[in-house]
Amino acid sequence: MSLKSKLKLFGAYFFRWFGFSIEPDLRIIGNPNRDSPVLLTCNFNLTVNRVLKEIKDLDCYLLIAPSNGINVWCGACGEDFKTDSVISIIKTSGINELVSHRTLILPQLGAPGLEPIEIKKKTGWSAKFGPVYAKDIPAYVQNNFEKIDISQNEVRFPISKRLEMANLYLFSLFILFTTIYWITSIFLPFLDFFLYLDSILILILVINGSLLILPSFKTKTGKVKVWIYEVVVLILIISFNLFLFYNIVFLIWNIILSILITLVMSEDFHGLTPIYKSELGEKTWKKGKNKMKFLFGEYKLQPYGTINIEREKCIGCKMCIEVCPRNVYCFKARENKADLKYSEKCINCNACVKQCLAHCLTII
Amino acid sequence: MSYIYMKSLEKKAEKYDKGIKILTLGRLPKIKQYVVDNYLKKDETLLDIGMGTGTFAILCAKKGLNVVGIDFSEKMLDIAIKKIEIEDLKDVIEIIKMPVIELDEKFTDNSFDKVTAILIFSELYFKEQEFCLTQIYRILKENGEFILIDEFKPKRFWKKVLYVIIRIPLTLMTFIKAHITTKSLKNIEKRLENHSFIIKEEKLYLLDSLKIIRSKKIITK
Ligand code: SF4
Ligand code: SF4
Repeated sequence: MSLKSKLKLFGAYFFRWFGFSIEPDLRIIGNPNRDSPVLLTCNFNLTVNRVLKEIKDLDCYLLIAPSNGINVWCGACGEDFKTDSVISIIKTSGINELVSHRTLILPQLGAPGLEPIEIKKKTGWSAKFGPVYAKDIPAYVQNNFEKIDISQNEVRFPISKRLEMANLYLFSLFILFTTIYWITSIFLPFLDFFLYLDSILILILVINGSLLILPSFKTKTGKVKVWIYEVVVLILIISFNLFLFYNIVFLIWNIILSILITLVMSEDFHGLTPIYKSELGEKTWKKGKNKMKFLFGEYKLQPYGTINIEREKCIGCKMCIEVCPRNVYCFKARENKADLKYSEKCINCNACVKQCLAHCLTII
Repeated sequence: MSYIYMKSLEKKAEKYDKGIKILTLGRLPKIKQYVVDNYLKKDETLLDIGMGTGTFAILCAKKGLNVVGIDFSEKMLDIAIKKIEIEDLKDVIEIIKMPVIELDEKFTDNSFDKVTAILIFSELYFKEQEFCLTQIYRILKENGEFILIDEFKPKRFWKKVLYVIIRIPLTLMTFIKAHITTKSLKNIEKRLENHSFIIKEEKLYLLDSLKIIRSKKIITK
């Protein structure tokens, strides 16, 4: 890998919100032949890097479809990773000449934005949704392109990912704080280095801490979670000042700072995670808007609400089960119909609504 | 494979909002006018790839050409349709909403006198550009012309330096606004020749960073 792409990868790791692209193309993995599987992913460099790592021992083709350097899920929800991206890469990569079959494996999280029927119509390829995580691809391929079990369908948010997420936030704020500190300390000499270090510590405490404890509280809204945690932080700050080291400037500043960060985080704490639905999104949607403004960005919204199934219309195609990242559905073999099992887990990703062949799912 | 962390991504702003005007420092209207005055003739058929809000198509139609414009952005086309209605040019401008990747399905061989692509090639990835060149060649009549206007990296050293200096803040602005960077086209002359076009004329603007390339389809035996 060239130095430039390494640097880009580094950039993507810390400044993910910007999107870092790599050139859409066809990658040949191992020694594939005319029957080898064809996988597809987006052109966010971090995603491609991770997929390549996971599939390095397979013999297959990997299509990197144009998605403006945005990851699969966000791209699919925001019209960056769409049916045309797939059609485009199939047509331009020359994959048609390399394999004799026409089966394409798409990332499951692309389901909110990709239409297999349209892909089939325009290119002749039958698209199937594979596992959520790239690490499950080898097992999936070995198992004849069937998911081993429903755990391969599910999006998870383990501690490592939560910390990764927290550190991302931290990193941007860290840069902001450092810049502000260096500039202001020129004019205000009383701002000493300890105040700066102390501020960073508070940032770490609030941001990393609140994401760490995320699953421990079972409250309904994310707002309550962050504020409960904030109370803990305040107690920590005050007792630190009472028992170890008392300084009124530090005390007041720490309290203000931690409350400020909590205010920002509480605005849409659940929206930061892939396992809860965005509260701000839902609120904005219910006001009848399909766009949401938050901090610096504007985001397109998909419908929010409760997932509903019209069971009499269901034809038992199992698409909903295949694409739901929260395993909300179960299949009732006797009736040959799907049903909602854990509708409270639904994060309104709209994947099932989009993919259902009988159009019997709605979010209202 | 999913990194929901980018959930907070701002959605792609449309081409014109995203600062194309800033990037070209307002020179684009004049350049378009130049093309219409010097390269196009009355009664010719023209395909405008990436017609956007239709400014160029309207200029062409006013000169008496029959224009087909394609674009994939609903928003831009809405504006284009309105503008065309105001100018009362509905009969001479046909609008098709489609991505460039469907060029192979839509038009018959040898059907246009001119094809134009204004600031659209640099938004495509390499293989898509190649695909378009093949399709444009197919669609054009013999001796038909392909007129490409796009951004390029200057060749001269001092111009390159100036270009980079000016480009950084502009890129940053568009990048932050739209999360999209326009890549300059590399070696496009060579690639045009590989696709059996011959270059008839090149004109440079803005420190050589904006180029008009007028090329002709020749039939190779
Ligand atoms: S049930 Fe909810 S979480 Fe599952 S796919 Fe449908 S919208 Fe997404
Ligand atoms: S996708 Fe729709 S039709 Fe298919 S099983 Fe699910 S609910 Fe039934």
